[in-house]
Amino acid sequence: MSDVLKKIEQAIYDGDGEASVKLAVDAAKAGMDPNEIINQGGVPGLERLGVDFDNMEVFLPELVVGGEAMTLMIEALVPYFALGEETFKGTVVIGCAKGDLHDIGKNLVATQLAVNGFKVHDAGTDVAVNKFVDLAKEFDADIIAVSSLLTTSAYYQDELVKRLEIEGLRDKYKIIVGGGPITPDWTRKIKADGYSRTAHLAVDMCKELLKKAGALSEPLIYE
Amino acid sequence: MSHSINEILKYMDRAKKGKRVTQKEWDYEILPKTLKEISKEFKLEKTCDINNPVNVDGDLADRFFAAGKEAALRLGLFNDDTETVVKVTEAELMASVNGAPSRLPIGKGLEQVYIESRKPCDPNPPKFGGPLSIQMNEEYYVPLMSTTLKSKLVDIHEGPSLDTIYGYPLLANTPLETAAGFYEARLRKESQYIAGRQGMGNMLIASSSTEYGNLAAFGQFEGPQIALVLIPSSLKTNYCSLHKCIQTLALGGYIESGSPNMMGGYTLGPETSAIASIADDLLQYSIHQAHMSGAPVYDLRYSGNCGRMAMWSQSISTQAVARNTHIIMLKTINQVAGPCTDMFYLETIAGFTAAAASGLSYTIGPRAAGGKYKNHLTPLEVWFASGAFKGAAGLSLEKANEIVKELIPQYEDRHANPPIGRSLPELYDITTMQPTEEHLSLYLKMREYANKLGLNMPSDGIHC
Repeated sequence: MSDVLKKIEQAIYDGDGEASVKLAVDAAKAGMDPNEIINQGGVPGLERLGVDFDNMEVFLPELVVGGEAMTLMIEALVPYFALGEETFKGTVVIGCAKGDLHDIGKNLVATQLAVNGFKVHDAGTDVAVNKFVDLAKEFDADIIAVSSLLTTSAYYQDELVKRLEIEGLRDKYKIIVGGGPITPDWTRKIKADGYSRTAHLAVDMCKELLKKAGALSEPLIYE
Repeated sequence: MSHSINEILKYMDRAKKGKRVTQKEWDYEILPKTLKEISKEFKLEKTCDINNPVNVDGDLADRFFAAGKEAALRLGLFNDDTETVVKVTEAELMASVNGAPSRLPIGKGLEQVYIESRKPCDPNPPKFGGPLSIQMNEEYYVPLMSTTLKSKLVDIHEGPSLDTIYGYPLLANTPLETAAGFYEARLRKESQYIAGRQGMGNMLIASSSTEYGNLAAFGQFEGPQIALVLIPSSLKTNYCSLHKCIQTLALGGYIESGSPNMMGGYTLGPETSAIASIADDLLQYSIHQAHMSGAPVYDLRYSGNCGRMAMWSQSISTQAVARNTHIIMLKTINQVAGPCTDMFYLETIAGFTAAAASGLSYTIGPRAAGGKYKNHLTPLEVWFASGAFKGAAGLSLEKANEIVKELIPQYEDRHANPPIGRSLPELYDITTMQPTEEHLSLYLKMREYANKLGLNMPSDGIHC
């Protein structure tokens, strides 16, 4: 690995957005392939953060800051991609269901998706069903992700599926669900498109979902 | 208006004038940075000893207390609704902590019990409320609870929770939550009557986490009951919680309040999460006028606290507060394995032994299968958890540490993917409410194992 890629890896690991953008743009101007900058500079930095997070050596705040640095770097590299080349894998609107303020799991998933090349629009907590629908339309989302830790707010995941059916939009968006009381059975029952037990698995699931057209008859379950 | 309500109004007014910060700034910058600074200043970095999950060093616990108090003063609580910080002075903090009750009567007549403050190694058995708010089918509520409450091992009635009312999904922030308060109160009374436990104390209300359910349920019982004022994340408050505090005080109840501290999350590692937990405990007595505090530590990686790091963090924060104050603490012990699995019992003995020996006054439990799976709860898990909690009273910290060191290696590699066990209708005949032979046999075997380890498991009054 070149010296500059090692420096980019470290800048992402440190959550230093300014440094990672400068290093990446300088490398791209010098002719380095932006895909190489992202995949061999940025991604290893995030992978190290992930391993250290699993070992309780770094924590959610560092993970989020590292993710933000990666997002800034990817955005800065957009002008250097070849014409027609896709920078982002897909667009996700994410939030906690109505009545739910427990955002830690949602933040973990949002971070993991962002650092893995998804454009993420975080709607925050206590998000009404109609707001999810409006945001998905506004940002032309591929996926709507709804987190819920409370059983009383989990029902809004079901309401969202039904609302999209009523408005004739069900096939336009994939709906994924997660959170404390959410299980594969619940996902099937409400006819959502996917469930993952961890934030890490949610990334693989979303990548897989983008390959599929329309609402799924059987959800993807990543346990 | 009572002095306590006046105090809450004073802090609400202060929130309006407090420093304005966004939630993101609080969660990702102010909270972690301050905890890290304090951990360094008090020389507490890298003090977590995962080879000894129950702390045995009293001086270290005292240093943690000093750090936690400093964190309470430097941080205060972030108000989600006003996006401002509510701070307290040292005089206010200590006046509220020193003025907090150390003994609370709850329940009437023969059902009256006293929840009392405890010290590490205290021989006085702690109190147990059960079960936790695990969701159940409506039709199982009364059979489950009228059976569970037949054992006097359950001092106070807490869960389970309902996710439907007369078949209607219980949607958050709708009038269904108010209806849930009334409905669950009725089911509680019915269960208590059948079990012969009329007059027992209640922790309200399991099916609704908002002020709607709280207000509806509180009017249904005579005498003081306990309100569960649970804030979503560390060192925060919000109007929903403050509504519940004012309702509870006005209706003559007790406030239990606090928030879980997610290790790996905003409160960082085991040491900083312990500091946050102590700060959270202390601040409940001023800003929420609490009668008891509840600030457990959970491990974000598996949402439980029966692993080494979280157990150490909860053990030292409990000891810190128990050694230096007389407040009543409630911290939940979160299992992740489900009913009728060996892992559930192993986690339970370990978690409750560490908690009882460290000086915890009261807890509610268990959280079978992490509270994630509907109907994954039976009376046997509730009785076992209470038995282990009470049976560990009086153990030295060294003995408790020895016990958990034998237990943790038997399950820690399963934390990432724990067995969910089986549900109530799979483990009990719902008509007779008798457990299957396999379920009862494992329960009895694990009780025997707990006794062999050194606990003194009290009789459940039903099976043994």
